[in-house]
Parts: sequence; C-alpha cells; structure tokens
Amino acid sequence: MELRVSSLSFSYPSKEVLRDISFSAAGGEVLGIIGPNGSGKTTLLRCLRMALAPQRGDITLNGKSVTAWTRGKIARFFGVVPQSPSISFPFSVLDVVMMGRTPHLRRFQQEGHRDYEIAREAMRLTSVEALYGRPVSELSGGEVQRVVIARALAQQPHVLLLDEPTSQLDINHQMEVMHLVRSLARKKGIIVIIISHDLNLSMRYCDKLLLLSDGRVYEHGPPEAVVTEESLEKVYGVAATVAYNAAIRSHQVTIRDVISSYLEGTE
Amino acid sequence: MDAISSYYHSKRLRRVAVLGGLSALLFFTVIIGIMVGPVQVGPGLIMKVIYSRLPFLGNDVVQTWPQYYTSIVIDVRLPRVVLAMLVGMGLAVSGCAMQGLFRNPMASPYVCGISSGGAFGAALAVNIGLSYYFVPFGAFFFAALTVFVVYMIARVNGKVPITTLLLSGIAISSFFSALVSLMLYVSNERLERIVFWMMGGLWSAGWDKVAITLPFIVISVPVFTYLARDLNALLMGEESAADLGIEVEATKRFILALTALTVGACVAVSGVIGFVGLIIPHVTRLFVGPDHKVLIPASALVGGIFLIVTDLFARMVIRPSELPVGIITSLFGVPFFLSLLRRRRTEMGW
Repeated sequence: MELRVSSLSFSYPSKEVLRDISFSAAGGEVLGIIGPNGSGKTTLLRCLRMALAPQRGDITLNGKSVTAWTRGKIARFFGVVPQSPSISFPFSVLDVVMMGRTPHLRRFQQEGHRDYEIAREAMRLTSVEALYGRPVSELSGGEVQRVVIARALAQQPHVLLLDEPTSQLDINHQMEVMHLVRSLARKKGIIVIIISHDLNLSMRYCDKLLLLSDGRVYEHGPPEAVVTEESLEKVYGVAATVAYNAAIRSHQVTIRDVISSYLEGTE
Repeated sequence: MDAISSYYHSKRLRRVAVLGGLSALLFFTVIIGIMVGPVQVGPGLIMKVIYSRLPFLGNDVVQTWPQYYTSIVIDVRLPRVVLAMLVGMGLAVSGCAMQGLFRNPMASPYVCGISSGGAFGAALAVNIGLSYYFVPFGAFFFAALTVFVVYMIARVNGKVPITTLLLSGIAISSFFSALVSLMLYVSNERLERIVFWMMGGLWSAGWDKVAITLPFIVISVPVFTYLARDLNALLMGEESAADLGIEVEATKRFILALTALTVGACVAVSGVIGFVGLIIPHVTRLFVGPDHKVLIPASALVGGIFLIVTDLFARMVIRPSELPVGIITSLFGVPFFLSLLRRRRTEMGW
C-alpha cells in the first residue's frame, strides 16, 4: 500500500491554500502533519480524500489515481476522523460504528453478520465495547472520539485520516489515541495520516512528519530531521531546544521563547 | 451469545415488533374510522362488505345486508379513511425526511414553500374558473415547481447549502403567500372555496382523490425507508456523510424531489393540513429513537393513524356539519406535542 501525492495545489477563489505539495506514505506508517494555524493542514487532509478537489496535481493509491473515484469508492479506502466530532442524536454506540459499513453495502443490502463482526472488532480495538448500548449523545469527548475512530475502522480503510484527534482530550487520552493509531498502523498495515498541534506527541508517535508552512512543504522526513531548532524558528517563530529524551526514546521540544521580530512580522 | 450480540439481535426484533404493532393499530383505526358516523356500521359487517367487493374472492358472497350499507362503507367512508391515511402517511414521512436532511427540528414537509406554492396553484385554478377536477393538479404542479425554483435559487457552485435552501424557501414562500392573499382579495364569490382549501380538509374525499395520492405514497414510503441509511449518515453532518460514501448533493436533490412530489400529492387532495408533518416525526422519534430505518416507516404508520383519528373528530364534533381537519390537527396535536416536548426534550437530540 502506497499513497503518493504529487505537486498538489489547491486554491479557493480568493486565496491559494496549498502549493505544490508532494510526499508519499507507505502501509504500516504513521505520518504526522504539523504546521502553524492557517498553514493548510486541514485543507490538505480534505484534498487527500477529495472532499475538496485540488486544481492541480495527483493523488494515487498503489499507483491508481483516486481523483476520479466516486464517494463510495473513496470511503472504502479512506477512513476519516474529523476534528472534534460531535453527535447530538442519541444513536447507540453500536449504531454509530455500524454506520462505518455504509460504503460497503449495496443500495438495497441490509447489514449482515459479517458487518456486525467487523464493527465489533473495531469497537474492541478502540476499547468502546463496554459502551455498546449507550447513546453517543451522552458520552464524554474522549469516548466519542474513540467511537468515531471505531466507525472509521469499520470502513476497513487502507488509509486512516485523523484531524487533530487529540485536541479535545486529556493528556492520558491523548497518549491513548496516539498509541492506538500507531498500533493500528503496525497491525493492519494501513497508512495513518494524522494532523496534530502537539509537536512532542507527533515526534514520539509518528514515523515521519510533514511540516507545512504557508501552504507549502517546509520539510518532510523522520521527526528529528523535520522538527529542529532551525525549522521551529523559521516556521513557528519560536526559540526552542530540541533534545533527545532517553526515558521515552524520542526527541522532545522545549519552547524557550517567542521571537518578537516574527510576532511583529505577522501583526 | 454475549451482551452486545443479544443487544444487536434484540434491536432487530424490536424494529419488527414496533412496525408490526403500529400496523395492527393502523388496521384497527381504519376499521373504527369506517364504523363511526351518523349510521353506525359494525366491524363484522364492514369486513363482509369489503370482502364482497374484492375481485375474485368476493364473487360468491351472498349479500345479506341492505344496499345502503354497501354505499356507506364503499363509496363514503372507506375512501375517506383511506385518503386520510395516505395523506397522514405522506406528510409524516416527508416531514421526517426533511428534518433528517436539514438536521433541523423546525423543518416540515412545507419547507421550501411547498404549501404556499400549492395554495397558489389551487387559488389560481379556482380563480381562472377551472373546473373542480383541475384544482388538485394546479396545487400539485405549483407545489413541485416551487421546490424546483427554490432549489435553483439556493444553488451556489453546484452545491446547495442547507441554510441557503431554508432561507430562499422562506422568501419564496412569503412571495407566494402574498400572491394567494392578492387572489383572495380579488376573488369575491370564489373566496370560500379557496379559504376552505387552505384550511385543509378531507370532505371531498372519494376514490378519484385516492387514485391521485395512492401511487405517490406507495412509492415514497418504501423509497424513503430505503434512504434511511443515507439520512442516518447525514445526521452525522454533511462532511462525515460524504466520508461514509454518501453522494451528499445528489441525495439532497433526490430527497427534495421525492418530498415535493409526495407533499404535492397530499396538498392537492386535502389542502394545507398543518402540523402533522412537523409533529408526528418528533413524537415518533421520542418513542423509537433517531434511527431512520425504524423512524421512517413508523412515522408513516403513526401519521396515518393520527390523521384518521383527527378526521374522525372533524366529522363528528359539530354534526351534521364538519370542521376542517387542519383545525383539529393543530388544536389537539399542538398541546399534546408541547407537553411531550417539555417532559422529554433532552432525549430528542436537537
């Protein structure tokens, strides 16, 4: 499984958002997309699954261009966990996860035993089995997040896209979610692409990072090659120390200060 | 079998039980609707009369009752009850689909100006002196046309945002209401017919009206039920629905068109009967939950039951005259709905 994005560009009528984005990701890999607000992270995630149609460039999965696929076909390959999902209707957890089977069912086909088994497996992986009959409208933010991940997994995607899945969560749940998606990538051989604001979590759990700055790829590669003191200064305008932390066997960032000249530049 | 598995299977059983129970209730309501009137007809006799009129099966039934019972049952009450059932079903099922599509509890079958468009069509037909038979077609045509116009106005770059659709619907609706008022103002002697039509009623029911409405309801209820999965996905939000493989804009268009035809067919034969399409889906949702697989057919059944019962009141309250059923649906439906709303608001999910 290989996802390849080549010179992808996207503009709204009034503003260019993404320019000439190229990267690739392989099965079993977790790719983190990082970058400041407005750098185009969410737009990129939308373009990847053709929720927005890029004006230029191509997206291929195993060499086949996805740009002309139907929504149904895309949904059989791409599972999406949106930013802070909220479901206000009292569907039960099992109902919501079963909705992930939608793209695999024909128009007049009922869900069968196999669909149920797949949904259960997804619930087991995300530890929401115990919540099966609870209305999602009554769950906590972290629980809803896991239910929505289970729904995406029930789609049996080859690519799992997550838009800041940890932003609403407590630190323990943040770790849990990152841990979960990495083990999913390893176990199922799927590609996981995850937008995150948390540089330290990204460095720790992602195999590769894609640093976006102003709609372009600033750097793409292994975490310690992407998140450097220099790139943090250039892209985020902060003075930071990046050092290896032996306890968690990962590089970690400590922000020392905001560089005021950058602040003035953005005002 | 563990807890989740038995939960999953019991859900399916409950769906069958709910729909079976409501179907039985609808059947009894139909019988009661035929029984009650200035002349009481017993349930046994009703069954016999209907059976004797069935093709093939009824041929060898010997008629042991006076002929006027046959006319009361077959020519008067049965078409009226059937028409009430069909209109109730059509309005409820369309309201249910609209609320799901718009993710808005205020949506009813009359959003997008269907009712005012239909009223204008009917008023126009009456005013230019078309015969009685053409009024339903005028109503139907303009109801459907209005939705089409609203949809085209709301369209931006191939997409139709729900809020734009609602707003342009409200605007076009006011426009047609003004036209209807204008017609009422200039239409002296025909005023009564138009006003009666706008209040909503079933007194002109007959097999000709049933024939207009029946095909639409027979098609739309199962089709809406088959769209349950799409409507469920749409409740997750349009972007999530698209991520689940739903072609959102095409689905929107299809549901809107189906609603326009269904409601057009109801409005054409019964005028504007308020609140059925707004309230019945809400009440049903309180009892069966938000899953459209159950909600759509259950709403249809409850809508059918509700309109038969309210029409019964409309016929009986001020005998020998009768009230427009639209008045009854609002007078009785609204307080009932509001009391439910106050007690169980948190369970509704809006």
